[in-house]
Amino acid sequence: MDACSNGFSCNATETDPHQGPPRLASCGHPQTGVTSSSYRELRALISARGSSQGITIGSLHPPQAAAAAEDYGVDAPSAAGDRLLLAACDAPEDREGAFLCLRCHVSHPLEQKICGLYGQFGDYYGLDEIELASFALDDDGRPLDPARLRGQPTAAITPFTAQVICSYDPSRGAGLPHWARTRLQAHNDLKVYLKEHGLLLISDWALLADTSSRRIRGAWEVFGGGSLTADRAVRLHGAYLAAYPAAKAEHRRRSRRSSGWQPDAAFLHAIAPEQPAATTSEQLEAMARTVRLVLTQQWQRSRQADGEQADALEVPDPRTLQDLSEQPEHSPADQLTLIHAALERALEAVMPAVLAPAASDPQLHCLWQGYGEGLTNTPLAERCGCSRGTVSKKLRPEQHASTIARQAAGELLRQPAFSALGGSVEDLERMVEALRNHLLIPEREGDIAPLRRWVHQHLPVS
Amino acid sequence: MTTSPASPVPIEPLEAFPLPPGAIVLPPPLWQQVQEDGERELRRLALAALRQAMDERELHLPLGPETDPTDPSRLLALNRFAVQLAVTGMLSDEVAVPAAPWRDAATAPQLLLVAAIDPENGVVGVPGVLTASEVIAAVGDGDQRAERLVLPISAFKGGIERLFTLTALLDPAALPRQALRQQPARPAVRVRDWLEGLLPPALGDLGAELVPVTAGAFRQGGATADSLAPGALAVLSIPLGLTTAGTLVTGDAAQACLERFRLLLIPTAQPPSAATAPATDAAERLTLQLVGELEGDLLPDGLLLSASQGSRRSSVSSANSTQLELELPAAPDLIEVTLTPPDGTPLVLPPLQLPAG
Repeated sequence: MDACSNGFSCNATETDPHQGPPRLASCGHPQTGVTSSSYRELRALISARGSSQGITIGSLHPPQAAAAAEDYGVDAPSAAGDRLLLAACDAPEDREGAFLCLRCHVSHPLEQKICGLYGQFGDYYGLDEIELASFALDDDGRPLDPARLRGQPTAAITPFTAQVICSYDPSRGAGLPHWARTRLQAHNDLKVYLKEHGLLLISDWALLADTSSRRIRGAWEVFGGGSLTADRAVRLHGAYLAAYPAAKAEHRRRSRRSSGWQPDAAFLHAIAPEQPAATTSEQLEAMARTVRLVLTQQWQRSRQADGEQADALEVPDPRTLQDLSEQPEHSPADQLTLIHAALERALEAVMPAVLAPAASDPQLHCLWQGYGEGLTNTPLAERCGCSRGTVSKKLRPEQHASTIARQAAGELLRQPAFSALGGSVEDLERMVEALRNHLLIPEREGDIAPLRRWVHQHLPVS
Repeated sequence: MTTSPASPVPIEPLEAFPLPPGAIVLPPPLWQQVQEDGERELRRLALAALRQAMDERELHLPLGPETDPTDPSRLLALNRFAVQLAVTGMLSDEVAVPAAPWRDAATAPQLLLVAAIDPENGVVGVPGVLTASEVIAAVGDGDQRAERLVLPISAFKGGIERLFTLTALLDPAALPRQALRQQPARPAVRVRDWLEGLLPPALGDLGAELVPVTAGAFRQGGATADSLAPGALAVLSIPLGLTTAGTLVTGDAAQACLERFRLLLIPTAQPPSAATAPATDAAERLTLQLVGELEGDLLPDGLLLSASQGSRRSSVSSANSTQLELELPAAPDLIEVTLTPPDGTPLVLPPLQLPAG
């Protein structure tokens, strides 16, 4: 084991300086892949030789946690053990030890969620695993007094494990591990970080509010289980939907914020008075999980389709503008001349402002340069050192092509040869789509699409 | 890890959700503090997103109304077009659109725009926009007298680009205002009346025959009512035929068709078992069977038998089939049964009522 700088024994992840930065090998046990929890082992960011950032996710074993676990007779984490330790946190003697045990305990589900995020999105969206972990695994294992921490505003409590425990309300029905994940889901800084990378953290409660009864039934029938039937799930969800708007409105009125609402015991009892609030909470969370699984499948399918499309070679389509020029009263050659002229003017009007920021942004310049040379998303990402998600987000060629096409179409509609197209939805949309496709797709095999060619010719020097 | 029949590879629930393509990310000062109540707040965010999207595209279309734009009952005026803005959640699979604006053709919207909003992250997605005629088609034979029209998000296409293309370039006269068709409500048919031998006129008009079990066994090639579905309490049989043009016909008209079959509606009780009490005569399920006119006859391929009951949807189609069957439980929601020929107009039965208990 590698002794860490803070004096605790710790397990660093396996590092090999010859292999580059270590992978996130700390998500669960390397051998079994099963993540365990513990009152003695704290998952945290620790220093590690060989890692490019000097830190990695590893384990700390604070002696005070081990001693407290021994004193309270708690071994493997359990709901009963949590209750015992929570009560001990309010006692005058050795509450720091009990508190530390709980901090160890919640660090594991926090790591699981971080690993889940990184595993699902890290590669495509360019997430940094250490940066992700820093939002949740910032506990260094030193003893802390929970009574003193509780005197602070909850959002200001650090480390995050301590914030989780200090904000925990057992009466809501959720267990401590689930509360840890819920709290991380509402972490404002994590939300900001993920949004910058094109991802949204959405709570189970918001997800359920956005879900139709049809989707609930479909999700439960495929992924649900236990004693809750699909019919019962739909009824419970219906009661939740009926009560949610008023509860959310009250939350907004009191806090002047949209985020942060959690169902309390009164809400849970109101929607299902025949069963304990904890049961209702578990059932709702289970339903949210099945919806997430359905959306996972949809997302995986759409990602596969997007990936195939983004990396597909552009197939020439010489007919894109020819369709527009088949107006019988006007010469096709004249019409094509008008179309090309309008497109050229629209490109001149739109693209300089789009490309201007590239002069002072090296990565953006790299991306546009590669785009102009004909690179697709994957090689672009590799060349410019970013994720494919960043390529899509920063370039947005389809959006720019739509703007250019619309501008060109506006000019063409003022010409007698094309004016009639403005009187029909189908004709207008076909025209704009043809112009857009012409910009994005080459006319002949081996050609470069006009938008790419324009970028290549006009990209300002960085 | 979880697997499903459609996904043998283990999957994990999504921990976060990708921003939809074209989503508009609002600056924090616009959304971090709630400024309005309820749906008004969502509309405020949607309007802010529209303006931001237009700015990004250097598109300067006039957007109104200037007075009380967040009033959910008001239509937007986007470059001379009347646009209804409907808001829903970022991850919603459907949107509930207030139906009131669609009652009067003189003032109905020309476009329906849906905004999918995440107020907790300040993000607005625009799945797409529908023209008035597309809205009418999407509502179809649904309940047009409802206060809200529920449409699937998948019906909306084109994103915000479609909105801008239509409103920036189209002649407003090309988008006529249309009102929803005012169809009279179809009264529900009480299934339990069949057990008393009462044939509802709405089904009688289709040539239906009703044979209560107590009046003798229903014979079809030697089958009895009970052998058609265990616990059958009655059988309502609608004669059907498929013309050479592919049209579905009922009653006497079906007799002239080469392809003839029957739709059987069979209320059933819980059949007795060794472990339970003898069956009651209360109908607890409705079994739908589509069978050939003679036992063993093949059904035409491509017939789609579907039924909906509240949030429950089920359907089955024929391919080298001698029988199609669906089963629905007694429940408060009305049962809507539809039979659709391969290329023809569907036959929609009047709503059926079979409450539990």
